[in-house]
Amino acid sequence: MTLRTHIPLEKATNTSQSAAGLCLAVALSLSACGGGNDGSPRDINRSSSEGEGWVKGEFLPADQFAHRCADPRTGSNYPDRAGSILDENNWLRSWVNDTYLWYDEVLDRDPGLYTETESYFRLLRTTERTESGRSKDDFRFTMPTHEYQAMAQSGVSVGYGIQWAIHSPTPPRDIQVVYVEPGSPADEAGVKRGQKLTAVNGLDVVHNNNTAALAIINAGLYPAQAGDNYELKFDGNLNADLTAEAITSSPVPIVKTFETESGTVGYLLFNDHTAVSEQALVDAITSLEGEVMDLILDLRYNGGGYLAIASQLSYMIADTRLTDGKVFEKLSFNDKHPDVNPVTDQPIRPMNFYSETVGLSAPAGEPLPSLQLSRVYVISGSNTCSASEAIINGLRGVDVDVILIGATTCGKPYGFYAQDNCGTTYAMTQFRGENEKGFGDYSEGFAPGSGAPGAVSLPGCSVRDDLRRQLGDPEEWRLAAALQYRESETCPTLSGGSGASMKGTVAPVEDGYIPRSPALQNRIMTGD
Amino acid sequence: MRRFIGVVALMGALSGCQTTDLDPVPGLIVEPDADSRAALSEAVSNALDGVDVLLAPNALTESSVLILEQSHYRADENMHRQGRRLDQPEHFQLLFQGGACILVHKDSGQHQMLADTECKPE
Repeated sequence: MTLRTHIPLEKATNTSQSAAGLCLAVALSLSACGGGNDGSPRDINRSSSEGEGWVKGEFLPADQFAHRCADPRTGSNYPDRAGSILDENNWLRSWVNDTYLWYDEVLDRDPGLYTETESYFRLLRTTERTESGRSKDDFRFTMPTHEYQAMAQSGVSVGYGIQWAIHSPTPPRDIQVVYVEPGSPADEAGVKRGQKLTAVNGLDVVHNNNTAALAIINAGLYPAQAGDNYELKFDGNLNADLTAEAITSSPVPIVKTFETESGTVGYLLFNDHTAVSEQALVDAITSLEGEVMDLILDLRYNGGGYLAIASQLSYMIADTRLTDGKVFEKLSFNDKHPDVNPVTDQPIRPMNFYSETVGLSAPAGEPLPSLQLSRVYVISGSNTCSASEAIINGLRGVDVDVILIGATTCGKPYGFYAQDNCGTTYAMTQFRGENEKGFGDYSEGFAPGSGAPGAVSLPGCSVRDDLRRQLGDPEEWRLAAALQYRESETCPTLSGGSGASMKGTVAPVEDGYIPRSPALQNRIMTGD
Repeated sequence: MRRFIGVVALMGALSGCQTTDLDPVPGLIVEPDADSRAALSEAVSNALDGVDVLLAPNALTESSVLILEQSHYRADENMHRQGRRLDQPEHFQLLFQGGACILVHKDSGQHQMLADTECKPE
């Protein structure tokens, strides 16, 4: 067998890889490099210590290169041993080829050409685009492992208690408060939902394009540690002197009911699938059980989290005759791994609708309450993501009617197992979640009404976020639209709401980007 | 200054066969201050192989159970975080025993006595 190599000329100039260069100069065949005569896939992505010999399309097991590091960490906690950048690149190449959901759309690149592993990783991806034209793979990252492994008390993060929406990260910037945590420094300073940020420490936020100034503004938006102090100025002439602290956010801050002519309607604002949300959701649903004939579930700012929470909440919403023994979500990996999870090496078993608590924060094994509904109204936005979308998809899989009010969801049916190698944690899409019916194709999101290219259209209304009113206010546009749709299956045309519309009649509404993690820094940029 | 005194072994042996003041019961931290917060953070981090931890100032003052989860999720390109978590959070419980505050890491069973900390039964 002769396999052509694709080692560029510059490889031959690398003294550490001179053997490969010599092989290339003599004969472009594996056999000339000492392998392949017996048909074995040798000389493929070798360690630099063993010589060079990248062969396009041939891959050794990732384990063969794992933890062989150019700069190994020291200490008994680390599996690192001496290696090279080439080893690290080879590990990435084989790991991507084995577990990346779209491995067969990745251009195989010579790992010896890249001296920076994260740059190489960024290239090992599909370049395909979705129907609407956005990148098919929007969901990968790297970060230092020690940062990735940092832990926080569930629901706790450093900040002022403000959740921002960044409508425009470049000049003229448009940054707005969408949520203020009750009792937080921001709340005590009088910051309100809907206010726009105009300055940080006297620096103009809207138009400033100075790099040094933007560093200060970013730091002021996302304080790194408790005690950081900034003066934030908002429209309405509010100057807030804010000191960051460890803020405890409630994952379920609002649970209430509305009396209507056709019965009592429950409203539940659910912001984050944290561990502590398990008990909070049980308490919330228990308070509504037997009291409501419909539920409006507000997920507009919920970017996901523990999938087990999504399963439990879905169970608690639906008629148990629809969910008993049914699949909430099944993980589907690439076609190399149809039956066994390639990360855990365990057989792939679907996650059913959990009928009991699983012990994230509530005692494990407690029966869950249920509203016994056959339909649910979900308030959504572009930050309704992942596990929140799994709720929508999981319920649709057992024929619960989901009515969507708001904007198209983010479109993330995917997940990953982050992996450390040599002190860097890598994450890429490895699986897709599918419901009882095997459906998981919502990478363009779920859209209320029709009109969003590629999105899965659901009945409902396209309505802008009403930042002039508090969440849970029945006059707030999205909540008002949900209540109206429930009564008449019509969408309101709201005064004063440019973009608020009858369902499916205008371009999709947008909510702006809402970062949720304290690790999300540098979120505003220059206009260059 | 080392904030925790050390691993407490054989807690069960202290309890004997009948209920006494030495029986461990779920506990709460009373009037936490900078020293007690530092002791708690150090003990939690120690149980988790030294990772950085962020705790609320009132941690373990209202509940004897402390739950931690990974805090940092980001993406360097479009900033989407992991939204389908399949991992498990870490659980700790505070015990009050004979006037001492003992932090138990439930997954490992590790016990640590908290220094500079006052506790009471939950």
